[in-house]
Amino acid sequence: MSEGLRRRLGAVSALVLAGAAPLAAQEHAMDEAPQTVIHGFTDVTYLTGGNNTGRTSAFGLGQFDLYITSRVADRLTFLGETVFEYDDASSEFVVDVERVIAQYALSDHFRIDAGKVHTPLGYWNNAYHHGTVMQPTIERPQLVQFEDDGGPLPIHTVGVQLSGRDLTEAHLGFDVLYGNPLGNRPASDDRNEAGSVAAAVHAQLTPALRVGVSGYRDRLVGGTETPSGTALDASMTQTIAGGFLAYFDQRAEAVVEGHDIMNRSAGRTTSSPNWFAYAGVRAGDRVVPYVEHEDMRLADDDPYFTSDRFRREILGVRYEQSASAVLKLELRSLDRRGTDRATEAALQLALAF
Amino acid sequence: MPPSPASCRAGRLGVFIGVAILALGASPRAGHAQLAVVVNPGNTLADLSLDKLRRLFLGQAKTFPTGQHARLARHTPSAATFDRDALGLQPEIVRSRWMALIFRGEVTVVPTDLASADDVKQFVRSHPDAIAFMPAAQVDQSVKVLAIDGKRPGDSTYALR
Repeated sequence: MSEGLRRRLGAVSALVLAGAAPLAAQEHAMDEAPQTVIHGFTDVTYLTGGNNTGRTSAFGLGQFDLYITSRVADRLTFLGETVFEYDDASSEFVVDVERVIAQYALSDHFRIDAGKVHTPLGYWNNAYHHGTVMQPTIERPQLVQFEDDGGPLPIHTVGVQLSGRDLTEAHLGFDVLYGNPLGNRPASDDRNEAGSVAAAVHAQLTPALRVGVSGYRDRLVGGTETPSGTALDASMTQTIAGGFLAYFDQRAEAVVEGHDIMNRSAGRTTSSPNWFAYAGVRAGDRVVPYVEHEDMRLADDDPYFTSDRFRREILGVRYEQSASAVLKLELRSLDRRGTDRATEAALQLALAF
Repeated sequence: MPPSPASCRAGRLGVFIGVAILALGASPRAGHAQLAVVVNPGNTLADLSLDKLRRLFLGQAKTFPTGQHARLARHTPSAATFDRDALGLQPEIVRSRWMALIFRGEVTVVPTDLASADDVKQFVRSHPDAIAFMPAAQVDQSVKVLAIDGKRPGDSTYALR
């Protein structure tokens, strides 16, 4: 983070903390030492499938995820998430710090987060993080896939975020995040001073129904590394606009989410509209058959992305033994650019501990 | 004759499914009793909507309609009944929702689980901002019973029957 951005974040934090309303009550008397809790997630997946080049079958270890929360002081909480995963490029297990957040509760309705957070874009990226046991499908939809797994959205951002929850009779919520731009490394200086801004507004209309819209704007300097590893030819402005509907009750569940990624460079703008829809119906207490459709396209001649078209249909069933142990079976049909087609079956056992 | 690659794959898949199901095991289900929602006698609230009750115990709201912070407690033996009758969800789904809230960073504390009705009454008496549920038959004057959508325990259309 640059010195300039650091100063600005510090000023924003100081202003918000100065205006903090007192909490009505504290949940626990605070001990001198921080109260730290460690949880973890892991999964094992069996994947078999084939395309016109052949068939493959293999077991795969998913991410081994350690999640730490700690009440550091009155109103101040630390949240950390570290993932151990196999990296195809290096053929080794690598460690990724996925979230590091210092969270300050301003009141029962407002809080401020500083650190590496999930960017408040849409529903899936903030509802589900790295523990596959929590999410309804085996993998994240490609649109909200992690950056190092080929996802097009800025899933993580390092910065400071102000959030509001359960506001007004409409049960509105919001998130405003000011952070580093794309291509920035969290431990090095910014390539550019502008920073990125993300904002989301959502409403929990009923205990089961949540709707929302979100936006993101970032300005990248020429030379910034693109997802394919090349350097941007010229400066670029990225604007992302999206929305979602999420419904989860005792019988039915559904998520519909879409984002249009617009990149403007050298006087020309490309548009990459992407969306997915998930729906499931609970059959009994523990079994949820589900379907998912994904449609992702990255524009031709985009200055930042490599052109792509990806469609995937999933027919699956989830067996929830408990909140901490879930078995998922999926049949999938994939179509990349209309020519690279594949079918596959996957079985995953996901655990929280 | 050696097994074909297809039968090997099917065999490995079958073994994996079998091991996974055996590892998951089975869990018991709780019984059923009429419940009362109780608060500290000093709380000015008399009535709570079922919608607000659901939002509180699903972690979507943290305050009473008065704006006062709400501190949640659950009578563990009645929790499954409460989850089904009041929240309209299976207990494991409720557990899953709270786990998700913690991992999202939306909440830092979960409702306090209390093993007996006496523990619930003691907790509610001790905390002016407490709200809890417990068997209606074991309520006494030390706690205040809230009406839910205008109905009290014993009413024919009471939500937590």
